[in-house]
Amino acid sequence: MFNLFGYGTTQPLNYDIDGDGILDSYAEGIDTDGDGIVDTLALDLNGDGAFDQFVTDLDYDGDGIADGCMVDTDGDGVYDAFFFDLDHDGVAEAAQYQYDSDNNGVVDMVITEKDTDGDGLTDEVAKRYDYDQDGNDDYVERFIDTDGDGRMDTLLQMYDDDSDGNLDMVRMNLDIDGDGVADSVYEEQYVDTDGDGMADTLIRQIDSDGDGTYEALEIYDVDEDTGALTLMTLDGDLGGNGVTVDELGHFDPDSADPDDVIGDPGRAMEQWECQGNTGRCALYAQKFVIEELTGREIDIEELADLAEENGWFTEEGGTPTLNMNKVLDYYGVDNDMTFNNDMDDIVRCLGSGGKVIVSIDADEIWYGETDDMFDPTDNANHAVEVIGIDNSDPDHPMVILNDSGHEGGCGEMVPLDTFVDAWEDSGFQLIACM
Amino acid sequence: MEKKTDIKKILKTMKTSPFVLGCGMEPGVGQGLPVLTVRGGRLCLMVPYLKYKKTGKPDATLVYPIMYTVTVTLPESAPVSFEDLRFESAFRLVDFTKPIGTFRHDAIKKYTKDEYFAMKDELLELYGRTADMLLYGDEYSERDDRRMRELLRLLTEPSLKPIYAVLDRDFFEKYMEA
Amino acid sequence: MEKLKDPDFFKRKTYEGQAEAVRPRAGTPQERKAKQPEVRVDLGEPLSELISRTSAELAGEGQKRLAAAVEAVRREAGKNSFTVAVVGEFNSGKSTLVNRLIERDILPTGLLPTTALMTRIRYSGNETMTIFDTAGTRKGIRPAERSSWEGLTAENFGGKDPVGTVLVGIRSPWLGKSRLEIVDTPGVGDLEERRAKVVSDAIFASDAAIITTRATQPLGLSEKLFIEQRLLSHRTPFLMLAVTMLDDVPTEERAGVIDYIRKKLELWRQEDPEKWRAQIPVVIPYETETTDESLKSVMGLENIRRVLSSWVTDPERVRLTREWVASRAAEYVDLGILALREKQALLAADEEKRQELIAQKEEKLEDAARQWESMRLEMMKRCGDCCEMFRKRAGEYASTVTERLQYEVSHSGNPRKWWLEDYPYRLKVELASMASGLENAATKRITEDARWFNTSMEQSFKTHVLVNQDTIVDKIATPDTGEMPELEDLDRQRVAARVGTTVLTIAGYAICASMGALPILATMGIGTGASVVSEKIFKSKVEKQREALKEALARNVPLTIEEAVADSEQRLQSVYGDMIGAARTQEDAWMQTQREIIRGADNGKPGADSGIKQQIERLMELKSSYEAVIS
Repeated sequence: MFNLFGYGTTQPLNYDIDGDGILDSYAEGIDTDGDGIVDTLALDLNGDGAFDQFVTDLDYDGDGIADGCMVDTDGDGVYDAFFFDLDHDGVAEAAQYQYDSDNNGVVDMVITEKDTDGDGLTDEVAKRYDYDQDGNDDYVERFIDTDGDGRMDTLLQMYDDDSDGNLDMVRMNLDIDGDGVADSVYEEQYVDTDGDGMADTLIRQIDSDGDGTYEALEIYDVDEDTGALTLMTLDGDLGGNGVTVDELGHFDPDSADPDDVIGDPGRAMEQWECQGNTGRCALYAQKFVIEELTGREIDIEELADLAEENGWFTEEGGTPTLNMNKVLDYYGVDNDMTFNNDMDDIVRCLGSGGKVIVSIDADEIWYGETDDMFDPTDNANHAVEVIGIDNSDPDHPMVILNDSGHEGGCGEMVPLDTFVDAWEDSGFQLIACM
Repeated sequence: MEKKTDIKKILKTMKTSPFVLGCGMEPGVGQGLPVLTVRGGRLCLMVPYLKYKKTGKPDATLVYPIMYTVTVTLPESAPVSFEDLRFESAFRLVDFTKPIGTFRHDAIKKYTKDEYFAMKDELLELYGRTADMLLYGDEYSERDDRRMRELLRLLTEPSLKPIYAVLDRDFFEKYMEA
Repeated sequence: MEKLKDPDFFKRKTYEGQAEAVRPRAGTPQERKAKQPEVRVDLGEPLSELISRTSAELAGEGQKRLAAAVEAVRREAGKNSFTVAVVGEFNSGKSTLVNRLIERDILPTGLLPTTALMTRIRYSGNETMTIFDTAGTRKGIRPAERSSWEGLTAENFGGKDPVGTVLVGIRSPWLGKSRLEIVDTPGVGDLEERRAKVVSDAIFASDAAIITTRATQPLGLSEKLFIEQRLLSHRTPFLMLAVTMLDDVPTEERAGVIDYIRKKLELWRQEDPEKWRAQIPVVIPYETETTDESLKSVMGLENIRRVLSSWVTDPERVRLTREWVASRAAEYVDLGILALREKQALLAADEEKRQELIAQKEEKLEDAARQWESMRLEMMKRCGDCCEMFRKRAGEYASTVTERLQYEVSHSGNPRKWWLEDYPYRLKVELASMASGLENAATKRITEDARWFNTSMEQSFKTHVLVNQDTIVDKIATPDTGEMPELEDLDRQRVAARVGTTVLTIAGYAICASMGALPILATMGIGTGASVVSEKIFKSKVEKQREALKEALARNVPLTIEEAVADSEQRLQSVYGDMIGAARTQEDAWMQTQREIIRGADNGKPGADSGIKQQIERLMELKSSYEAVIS
């Protein structure tokens, strides 16, 4: 089962010295005191017919129950193989072996093998090398069988490129067809460009068809405090047939003619805030509505905590559709969430003094779509408040939004057609609030 | 010939169906190319959900791993299952917060957006006709079958193929594998 | 809900242009893993059960080592691989042959005199070479390629000569399909005991063997004895003889060499059909030109591969394997019985007496060990004496032959004609008769020494065993009068041999002695040196020619004889080495058992001897069951 000396490919090296067809690395319970009960795990890893010196009943997690053993396989007095049976089912699910890969007498490599699902097939083999013996891994390879078919299909290579003790370059190779050649390679590397000792840039490359050429390159700016990543965009010329974010106009309450405007965007705009780099759009949208309707000031952090506690929202995932009005309910705001609406429904709601929250595919508004930049799926990913419709130019009606998604989202104006297209992706979802 | 099983329509309806909404999937995930499969002797449609994220750069839209699958029966669209793949052992080492590829992939770069969607529509129609054949014994030629394979191989992002291989080995081998 | 029209639709691949039948699923990973080629021999229910009972019985008596040994026999017999040992002398082209068979230049060819490394080659997805010393400690892993052999020096082995096993895994489909394992042994013919033992052990566990022999020196004594003791008397029924270096023999003589070999084998077989029951095919590994078209059918590597693969599935293999398992198990049972008897005797005595007996026994064991050591040394000395005698005789022959030939040439009317036409023939004849004489002398000597060795060992065993009655040892006629043991007893003796004597091994030699001359040296293909003399000589007067030729003879004949005799010493040494090595194995086993008896008796309680009687009875019953299988 354990392939302690293999190289992570499909066939385990049959460690069968005497050629009797039976792997010499077998574990057999033996009854040392002859009381009829098997009491130890005995191994003969090097197949010399004698059980290796072993220490059993190691308690790694200190819970009082034996969960492994360590073995001195080559009799040199140093324990070099460790077996872990943390779930106490009698079957080791991980093994670790120390090895001197370049035969210079110094252990520089640790191999770990895991069979976490106990199906007898190794799920992962990790090899950690510490060539310069400074206690930090210089290179780590992880061979992983992600689909449990017995074949390692993913190889993760991690390097400490700049010898600073951090594994900063990762390459993930996927071998889909099992021919031993990576079909898909994904590589990312943290780089310290300004020499202050902290990585500030992340470079990612993807070779999705394994032809050896990375066809996608991304450079991210790493926030040195939070580690948050921001994709560094290029010169800002984004193209697209929609309006781009920079080009979106903003509603100017002073210059607009109230008769042409449905809703009260000017006032609503006072409540606008930017969500920053978070997934809190739905929370903000609800916040705007509540603040506008009740006059209360609400702290977004409290709202986030509340929503998270109640399971309506997570920082990583955002707010699922059906939970988008839970905060409104909590604050006692009357609301109604429906699908398959149309512009008339929005007009009606705004016209009668209500507030409107919709889900849209924000990318369509922010980036627009071109032949080389579009989303093959149509799905909504953003919540905004519709605060008004400006018909000043009857041929080009504009929908006015409080869009918490970017700095310029306060009262941003989006052409109706663009808005409707973006809105369609949510199934024309609408939360009408009174 | 009457189009009995309208996969495109079924997919659209699913978006706002109470079952799907009730699954509480993260906002931003969309429907990928579905999988036709036979379970328990019944024909089912397994719809993968995944995120795409535009970066503003051409052909650099990020593709994230498939995160959920929703399976319904055909033709009734009755719910069969919902899986959050982040809980699947086969995916335990996938980092769902990191993209695994970019869109568009090489094979489709020569088509316009409209052409792409036209091909996708054609593909979804072939799905429907495959279903019709299996459910009602309607005509379905080998050429149709081959066309479906051709389109699937063309339109599926290469980085997603390994995931399809895990989700449904038969479907993958029949339609996507080289 | 109606059933689907075609539920397996998605299991069928969509192929461009073709309809495709349902493709069977590969199965679960476990299933796929299990679906490796099966070449296991099925021991059958009765025998398997017998083995289980035996090991249980032995274990129950506290003889855990024997029990484990019995189980090891079962495991070995049931292995899912087919091992082919390639044996032969140094420089007989073994490694080259193996390299050519596996189509990889893995094994280093040429002499590596300092290594006694045994190489096992089998299929592996990982192409690596793992080196183990004799204790089984892994010494290193390298990539499976020729250059990895460099540096397999004393350094890697703690300053001593490299001894041990090298496991080579290569991705050879041929090996994988037939689950073949090829074992390349260090050259036979080395007195060094541990090397001989290494080879012995390996071959002992092999299913088949390819014996390589040089066309220029085919089928020496050592090879025959080797075949007999190691291969035939164990369970290696599948043998083939590969004749290498046929190209070194003049084209027109090649067919003759093969013929000679075949005839020799046939002769041996006729003289002892019991032992030589297997036909040993003679093959020529590499294509070469001969005058006999029919030889083409036994030429070529593909031919060898085919034969090897056919052996794997040969039904004879099952029968022989079962027999082997039964005899090995029976041997261990014997050891068990003997141990029990000794124990019985010890326990029967009272406490004080017992301690006395134990002390006595321990002393005797030490004494035995010492005696055997000195016997071994004596044997080695005798080997030296034999070689010495051999050399001397060869030297004597050299002068006699030279004189005779010189006489002939000086009486020949046409020296040139004589030199070119008669001399080659004459030399061969002389060498042949010399060979005969030398070998007779050597064999006689070997047999005497062997007999001495055997007798001494046996006496030693007898005196060191406490209990003399009823032991199997007694039942054998001891040949200290010079009489040969009856051949019928051999089978029984084979079993007894394990218990403490080396009767069979020695008897083997004795039998050989009765068969007549065997070539220790060969005369085929030796250049006759006709070109040594230049044509110029024949232009001078006849008398001058004669003189010149006599001179040439004086030079040439001794050289030729020396060449022929060159390797003989090695061969002689191997014969002696074999005997010593074999005895050693017996001795070790016996010692162990004796020690266990002492230990057991030490802990035993007096009066517990009634249980032992039953145990002995049970073992005897098992033994007869095994004998039933064997017969």
